[in-house]
Amino acid sequence: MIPEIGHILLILTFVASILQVLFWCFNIKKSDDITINVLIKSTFINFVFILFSFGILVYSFIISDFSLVIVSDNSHTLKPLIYKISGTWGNHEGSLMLWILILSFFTFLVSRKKHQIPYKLLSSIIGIQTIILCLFLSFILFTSNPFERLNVLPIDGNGLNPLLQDPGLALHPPLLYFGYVGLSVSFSFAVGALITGEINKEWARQMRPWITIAWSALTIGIALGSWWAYYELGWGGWWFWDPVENASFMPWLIATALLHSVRILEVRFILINWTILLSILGFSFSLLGTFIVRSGLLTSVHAFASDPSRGLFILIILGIATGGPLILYATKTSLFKEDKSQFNIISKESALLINNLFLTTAAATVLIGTLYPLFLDAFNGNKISIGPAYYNATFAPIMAPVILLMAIAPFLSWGIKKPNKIAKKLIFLSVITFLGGLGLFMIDESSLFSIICGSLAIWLLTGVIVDLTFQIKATNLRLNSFKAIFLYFSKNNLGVHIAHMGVAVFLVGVTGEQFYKTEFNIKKNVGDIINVGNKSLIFDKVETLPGPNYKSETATFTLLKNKKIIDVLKPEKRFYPIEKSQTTEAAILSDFWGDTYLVLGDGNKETGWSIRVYFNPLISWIWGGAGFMALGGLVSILQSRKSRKKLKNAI
Amino acid sequence: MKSKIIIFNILPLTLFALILAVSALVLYEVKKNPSNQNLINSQLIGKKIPTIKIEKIDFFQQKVKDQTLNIDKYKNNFFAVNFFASWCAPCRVEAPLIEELSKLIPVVGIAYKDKVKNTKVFLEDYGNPYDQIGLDDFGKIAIDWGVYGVPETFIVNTDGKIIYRHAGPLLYNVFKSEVLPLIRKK
Repeated sequence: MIPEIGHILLILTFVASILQVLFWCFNIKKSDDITINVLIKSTFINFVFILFSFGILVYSFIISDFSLVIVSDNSHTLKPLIYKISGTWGNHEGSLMLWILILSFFTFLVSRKKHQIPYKLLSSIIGIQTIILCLFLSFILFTSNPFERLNVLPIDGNGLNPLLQDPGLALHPPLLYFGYVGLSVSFSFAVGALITGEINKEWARQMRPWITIAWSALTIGIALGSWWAYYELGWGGWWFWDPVENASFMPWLIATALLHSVRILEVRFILINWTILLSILGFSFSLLGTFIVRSGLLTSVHAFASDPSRGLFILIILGIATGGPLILYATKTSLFKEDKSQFNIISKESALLINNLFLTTAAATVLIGTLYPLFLDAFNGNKISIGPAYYNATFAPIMAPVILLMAIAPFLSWGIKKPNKIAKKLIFLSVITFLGGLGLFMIDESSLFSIICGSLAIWLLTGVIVDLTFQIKATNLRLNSFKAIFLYFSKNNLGVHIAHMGVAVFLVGVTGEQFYKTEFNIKKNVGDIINVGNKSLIFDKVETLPGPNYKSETATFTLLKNKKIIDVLKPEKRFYPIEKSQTTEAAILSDFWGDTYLVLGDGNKETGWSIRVYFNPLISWIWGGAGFMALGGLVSILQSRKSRKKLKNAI
Repeated sequence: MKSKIIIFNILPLTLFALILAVSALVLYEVKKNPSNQNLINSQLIGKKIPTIKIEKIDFFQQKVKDQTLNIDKYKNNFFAVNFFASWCAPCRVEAPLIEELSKLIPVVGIAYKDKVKNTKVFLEDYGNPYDQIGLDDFGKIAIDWGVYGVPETFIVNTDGKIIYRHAGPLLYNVFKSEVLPLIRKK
C-alpha cells in the first residue's frame, strides 16, 4: 500500500507541474503578486510531494520491501543499513528520483528569493525549472517507474553490486547530482533573461552564488568518484578518461568558465551573450552526461543501467531543453546591448576571457574524445576507442596556459585602472618558479613533463601567496589578531585565492603521482620482510574473518620506517556470497607526503600470496586540492552574502 | 557586421542540432537490432569468428612471446572468448564466473588495452582461468569483434560460429539462465 502512495504522489506532482507550466505560459507577461505567489506555492507543493515520494522509496529499501522490483534487484536483508539507504540511488530508477528531488529542491530555494529577484524573471525561472521537472517526471512515470511491483514475492533480494557498497560511493551520486541539477538554476536564469529580454548587472550578481554552489558540489562529487576508484579498484590510478567520468568533467569545465564570465558580466557588463550561452551549455552538458550514461551507447566502468529506449527519451528531453533555449538564443540575443566602452587588453576581464576560451576549448576536446567513436560508428561502422593518449596530447597543452594566466589574473585590475605593482609581482613570481623548476630538474632531470607540471604548480601556488602578501602589505593592516585577519579576508576575494590554491595543490599531487610513484609485485609468505628504501613491511599473518554480508581474507603487515613501527596495514579480499563476487580492499596508509598502498592478491599457505605495493607520493594532494577548490567556492558564496547584507544595511 | 553577429547566434544551435541528429541516428542503429539479452546487438552472432592474430603472453616469462594465439586447436569444440582488462572494475566482479565457465569450456582471454605487467597482477589477484591469453594493446582485435567495452564474453560453437555474446560483466543469473543452457545443448 505504501509504495502506491509514493506512486500516486508522483502522478499528482506530474499533473500539478503541467498545470503550473500552463498557468505560467498564459501569464508569461504578467508580474503581479498573485501570479508570482501561485507559482511559488505550487513549487513548494511539488517539492513536498516529491520529498514524500522519495522518502517512501527510501523507507521501502530500509524495511526491505521485496515486492518492489528495484528493492529486490538492488537490496538484500543482510546489507548494512547505510547501504540499504544508499542503494536507493544506486540504480537507474532511484537515481532519477534523487535527480527530481534535487531539482524540485533547487526550484524551491530559488522561489524563496522573491524579494531579490524581479518578479518577471522569477516567474520565468520557476516556469523553466518546472518544465524540466515535467520532462523528468514523465521520463520516470513512463519508462522507469521506481514503484513497480513484482508478481511473485522473492524470499530475498539480489543484493547491491559489492563495488558500490562503500561510503565514498554512497555520497558520490548525490553530490554529483547536486552539481548537475544545480546548473539548471543558472540555465533557467539565462533562459529567463532571454524570455524577459532584460539583463543587468544585478542579474549576474543574483545568478553567481547558484553557479558557485553547483560548481562546488560537482567538484567534490567528481573527486569522491575518483577517490573511490583509487582505493576500491586496487590498481592505484585515479582518473581513467572514461566516457562517464568525462560526462561529469565537461559540465565542470563549462561551469568553471561560466563562474568567471558571470563575474566579468557583473563587474563590467560585457560578454552577455557568451555568459548566456555558457549557462545554457552547462546544463546541456549535464543532460548529455545523463544521456551518455543511461542510454547504453557507451559501456564503461559505470554502465550499470543502460537501455536504448530510455536513451531515446533522454535524447528527446535533451532536444527540448537545449534546442528551445538555443532557438531563443539565436533570435533574441541581438537585443542585448553591452557596455563596449573602455576595453583594455591588460585587464582582469581580458585574462578571464582568454581563460574562458581555453576552458571551453578543453570541454570541446573532451566532448570530441567522448562522442567521436560513436559518430564514426554511425557513419561507417568503424569502431574505435579513445584513450588517455588522446587526452594527454590535447587536453594538457590547453590547460597549461590556463594555469599560467590563473596566477596572473588576480594581479590585474578591472577595466582601465592601472594594475598595482604588477611588474614587481611578476618578477618575484618568475624567479621563484625558475628556482623551483631548477630544483625539480636536480631531483630528476629525465622527465621534461614532470618539470613542466611541477613548475606550473609552483607558479600558481606562488602567485596566490604573492598576491595575498602584497594585498596585506598594501592595506598596511596589522594582522595581529585572529579577528583582524578574519575581517581583512572577509573583505577580499579570499574564496578565489582558496580555490586557485586548490588547483595548485591538485597539480602538486598530479606531479607526484604521475612522475614519482613506485610500484612492484612480489610473491611472499607469512614471516617474510619486504624492504624498500628506508621502509620495510613485515608480513605477519593471513586470517579469514566474517563480515556483515561477506567473508574476508585479511592479511596483516607491519610497516616500519627507519626500524621504527609506524602502523599496521590490513589489506583484504572480500567475497560476497549473495552477489557471488569478490572485491579487493587495499590497505592504504595516507599521510601528507604520500600513500603506502598495499593489495593482497591470490595465494595460499604453501605458495605464499602475491602482494602489490605502491608508493604514491603526494597523491592525497589531488583530492585535498579538489577540497580546497570547493571550499573556495563556499567561502565566496558566504562573502557575497555578507556583502549583500552590508549593502542592504547601507541602503 | 550585422550578418556576422547572426552567424554567431545560430552557430550553437546548428552544432547542437548536428550532435542531436547523429546521436539519434546512433540510437536508432542500436535500437534497430536489439539482441535478446543485453540490448546491444552483435552483428557477429551466427557468423564465423573474426581472426585473432595477436601475440600470446606467457606470464611465467613475463614477456610477450613471439607466437600468436592458437585458435585452431578448438576446432570442433565449444570455446569462449573473454575480453578483459586489469583496469576494469566489472572484470573483477565477473572473475569468479569466468573461473566457473573455464571449468566447462576453454576460455581465451584477451587483455584489452592493457600492459603485460598489470595483466599479470590482475591474474595473480583474481586467478587465471584462461586457456591462453592474447594482448590487444591497441584495441584492434576488440574493434574486429565489435566490443563496446570490457568485459565482454563470446561463445563460439563447434562450427567456429559465434552463438552468444554478452556485453558487461557475466553475472551469476546471466550465467545460469543464458550461458549454461547454451553449453549444455552442445
